[in-house]
Order: sequence, then C-alpha cells, then structure tokens
Amino acid sequence: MTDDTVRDLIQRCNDGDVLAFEKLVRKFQSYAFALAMRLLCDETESRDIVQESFVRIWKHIDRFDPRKQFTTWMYTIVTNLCVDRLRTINRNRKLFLSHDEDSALPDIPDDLDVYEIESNEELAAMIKSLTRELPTKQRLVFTLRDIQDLTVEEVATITGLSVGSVKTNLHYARRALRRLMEDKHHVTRLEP
Amino acid sequence: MLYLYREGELSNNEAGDLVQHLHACESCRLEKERIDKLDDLVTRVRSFSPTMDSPATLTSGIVSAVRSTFVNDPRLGSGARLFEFFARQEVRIASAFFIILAVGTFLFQYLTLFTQIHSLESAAALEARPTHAPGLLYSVESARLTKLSDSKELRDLVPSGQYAVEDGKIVVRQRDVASLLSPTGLRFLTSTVASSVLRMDKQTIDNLIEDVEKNAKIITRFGQ
Repeated sequence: MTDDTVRDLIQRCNDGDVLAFEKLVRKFQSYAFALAMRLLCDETESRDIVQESFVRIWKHIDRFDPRKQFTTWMYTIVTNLCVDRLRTINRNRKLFLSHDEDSALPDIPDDLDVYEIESNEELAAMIKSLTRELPTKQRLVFTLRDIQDLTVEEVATITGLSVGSVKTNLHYARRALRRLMEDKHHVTRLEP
Repeated sequence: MLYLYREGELSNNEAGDLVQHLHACESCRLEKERIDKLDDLVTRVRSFSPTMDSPATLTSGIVSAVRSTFVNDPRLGSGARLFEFFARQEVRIASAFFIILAVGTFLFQYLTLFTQIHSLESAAALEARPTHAPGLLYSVESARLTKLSDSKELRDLVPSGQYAVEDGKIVVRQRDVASLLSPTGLRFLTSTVASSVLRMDKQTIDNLIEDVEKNAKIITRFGQ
C-alpha cells in the first residue's frame, strides 16, 4: 500500500469514514500487535493495547501530520500505552508477588547457540528473560531499537527522548545484557 | 567505540584504526565477540515476528469499540452513520437476505394468487363452457329435426368439424358445445341449417326454432 493510499485512508477517517478506518486497522494492526507483544510479552494484553491504540488513533486522527510516517505515529501511541501498562504490571508485581515468585520469571535458555524461536510464547519468554532486569526506559529503548529494528531517530520520536538519551540508554541496556549473558553462560568477563 | 563501529557511526579512518586495534588487543576482541554473540541472539529474537490469532476478530472488535465509544462523534453525521451502517458486512449480508426473502415472499404470494385466479377462472369457464374429455359428442334431438333427417339436404350438411347430422340429430363436436348450449346459439344453429341448407321459408323456420327451443334435448354421448 503506498503512502498516498494511507494518506487517503487517513483523510477519509477525518471525514468520518469508518470503512476507511477499518481498512487502516486491517493494514496496520499486525505491526501494532508485534510491537505490543515485544514490549508486553503477553498476547491478551497486546490485543487489548492494539484495540485501545486504534480507538485513540480514531479519536485523534486529526492530529496526525500527513507529512510524517503513519507507523511512527502509531508506534508512539502503542508504546505510550504499553509503558503505562508495564508500569501497572510492575507495580502490581511488586505489590502482590513475593520475591520467590518474582525470581521465577523465565531465564535465558542454556542452549543459546542453537536456540530458535518458533512461537509467541517462546518469543515472550526470551524477551522477558533478556529484559527482566532492565529499567523500563532501557527496556523500551532496547526493544524498539534492537528487537523492533527501528532507527535511533524513530526511537527518539516515539519515546520523546533525545537521540543522545536513546543512545545512552541503549548502551546501558546492552551492557547489562552482556553481563547477564556472561553470568548465565559463564562467559569470562573482562575486568576493566 | 565498538558499538559506534557496530552502528556504522565511525569514519572510515576510525573504523580502520579500530580493526587494527582488534587484531592487536585480545580484551577488545573478546568484548567484540560478546557483542557479536548478543547481536546474534537479538537477531534471532528480531527475526521472529509475533503472529496474531484471528486478526479479523480484532479488527471487528476495534471497529465496534470505535462505533460504541464515539456514538456522538460529529464526524459521523446521520447520513454518514446510515451509509456506514449499511456498508458493514454483516448488515450487507442481512440486507441481502432480507431482500431475497422479500422478493421470494412476493413471488410466492403472486404465484399463489395467480394460481387461485386461474383456478377461479377455470371454474367459471367450466360453468359457462363445460369442457369434456375428447371423444364426447353432443347432439340436439327434436321431433321435427328427426323428420328432416331423411332429407338429402340435411345429410349433405357434411361434417365440417363443427356440425354433422347423424340419424336426424344435429351433432355438435365438443369445442362448439358452448354455442349449442346457449339459447342464442341453438336458435342460430337451427336457423342456419333451416334456411341455408333446407331452404325453408321464414314461417317454417320460426316453427322449427320454436320446436327446437321447446323440445330439443341435448344429449351427451360417447362417439368418434
């Protein structure tokens, strides 16, 4: 689908054309779901977020700048909702889970060299195991940049961080992940 | 530095220097190997795109949520709402079903009515014009006609497919029985036979007609 077609759909949404909106949803919901799934690691939560995101898109479609990428705008909405949801989840986890239960989160698989992801569940487990120790901001930047494969500039636009801040958070996230892998797989850590 | 290299953010000279340094420095080389290992894992994670079950259900759920949440959305004027209402797939299917049902009902009622009208017409026609099985013949018998039965002229009234004379009776074939049954038809038939074939005078004809009207019997019988 060309950008012109997306712009046309958005214009029609602005005019109250629900059919155009339905086409827009059909076209982009899988992208929104993929991002939500990578951030939340939960199918049901991700579907809820996608629905909520598109309701917001319909509501605020007049705010969309047609000179910009629709996906970037959509990812911003999805990400903001996911961050809110993650905060709620983390708060609830701290409130209701004991330390033992908390440490029962998935671990990095042992057979990492041959490990292949073949399902949503495996993906969720892997991302959880990788990002479980990361603060929300680092987790967000790492997921958007390295897993969702967005550019640093896109990540900055979506998160509202500066490019420098994105790079810094990304650096810390990667360093933390390297250490995590060293710990789990007995890779020799270099002393500074 | 290694991540800047990985991101392609080093100049050619800087990248070249780094590569040379990696050859010479084991600790940096090991660090790069760990970065590569993490990259490899992340690449595998990235290469799997989460799959969504029943996307159509999600789409319809989103559209329904929008409709219910923004009932009073000014963008959705009454005309637009009506249009999009009828543009919905489920409404289109229901509308098509309703139209088919309506047309079917109309055709059924029309055909039923048509059949009833046809039956009534047939019944009325049967009363006015009895129909009979092929092979039935009708004859008019009267004493005066019987007297005339020997006349050559009457016998010359060769069957034309409608009238014939047999044994002094005017035999009428089935399809003309209606004219025979009506008084006017009977009078006309008698008059025609009497004047054209038998060449009777007017008085005789009138007498014959009177006799036929009073005494003639219409008899149905089997025949060829």
